[in-house]
Amino acid sequence: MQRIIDFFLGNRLRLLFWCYLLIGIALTASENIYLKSSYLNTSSRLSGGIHLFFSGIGDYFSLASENKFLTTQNKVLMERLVAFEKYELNHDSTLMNKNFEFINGRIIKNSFTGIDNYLTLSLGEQDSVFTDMGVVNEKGLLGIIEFSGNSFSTVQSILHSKSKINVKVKGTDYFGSLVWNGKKTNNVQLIDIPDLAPIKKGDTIISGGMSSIFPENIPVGTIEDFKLTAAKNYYIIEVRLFNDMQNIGPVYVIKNHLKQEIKAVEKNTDE
Amino acid sequence: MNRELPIYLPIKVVLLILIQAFVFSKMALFGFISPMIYILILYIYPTHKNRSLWITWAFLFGLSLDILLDTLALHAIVLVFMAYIRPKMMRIMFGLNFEQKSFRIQQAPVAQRYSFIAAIIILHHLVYFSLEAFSWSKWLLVLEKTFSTGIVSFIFSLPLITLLSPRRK
Repeated sequence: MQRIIDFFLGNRLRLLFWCYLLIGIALTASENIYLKSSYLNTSSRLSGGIHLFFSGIGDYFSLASENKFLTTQNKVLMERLVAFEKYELNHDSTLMNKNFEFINGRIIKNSFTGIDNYLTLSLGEQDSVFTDMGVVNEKGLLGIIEFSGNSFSTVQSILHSKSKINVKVKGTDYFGSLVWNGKKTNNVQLIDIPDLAPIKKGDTIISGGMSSIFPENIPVGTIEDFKLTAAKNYYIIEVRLFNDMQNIGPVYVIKNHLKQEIKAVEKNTDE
Repeated sequence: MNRELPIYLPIKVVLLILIQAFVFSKMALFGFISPMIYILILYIYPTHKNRSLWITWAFLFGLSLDILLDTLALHAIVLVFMAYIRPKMMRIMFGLNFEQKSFRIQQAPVAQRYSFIAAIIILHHLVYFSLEAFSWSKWLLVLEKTFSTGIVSFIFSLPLITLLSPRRK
């Protein structure tokens, strides 16, 4: 017994080191959903308040530019509304796509320089925001909710090594996946577009609408450059984002009312 | 004002964590570089204090930064690792002087101090970005990020260590 005690006392530094290292690894790489969600929930509750406070101070200084932006956006929406009302007079409005609902919120923490970046959103389950909902702003795609706590959520940014979003080249039916190579914060890469696709620099990339997360036609960016893969059958396209990922502004979470139905149908098909 | 008083150490550490979380982590120099200056904790923390306590503090500093930055426990892991190997690195950098009880990093020659800071920054960034990427296929990206961020972190660290170090008599 004395030997065991002596062993622990003699190696206490090494044991302590391994103990903290294992705790860190468990919190970072664990597949245990309960452990991970309890940790993320506690950490988002702790840091959420602090970030809310600091972003509140920052928001105060950007009130003038925010106001200008909202007025411009209001003008665009008013114009669209007028055009839509004219359209509605001549068409059956019940046929319109009303499956998607937008919930407005704001980003209180934004990371963009890592390999895997996340945003923290001031909305949570109490605002009907749940995992796997899409997040956009007026300029385009931002990411997908990865974890939703009671009052805050974390969003997996499109600047994340595991992000893969279905998009297409506007005006065509060529679909591909949007990924990020971890380098520039205002550029992402579009892969899986076949070499037959008629693309050119400056073409617009929009969401493909092939998932239940984002509706079709959400803007993403423009083609900055492209080249063929080594096998020469697909393009790797460099896309310049419309969004400035360092300065996001107000955001909207997209709720798809038909998501459960789509998932149920897909599940039944798989079985 | 005596900046060597023990009460100033926690203030300096909390300041470093807050500056890191709310200033440096919000930067994106050249579009992708966010300097990591909190590593200076390894420079300002006294060398001959209880090492078990030091590792515990390193874990807690790292975890508080992780909570503020939503990085799971990446900073905690890297800081614990760096805290554990700090004496070995100091022995290599400062030689026999390090063994003396009266040794203080701040009193070592400038070249040795700067080499020590550069070494801890490069090693810290290498471990951090490797853990973040967690894939052999991204080794080039990890090296690019380590050196580009490392150079910027080093440049920002120099004025900070002057502010955080006790005055020389």
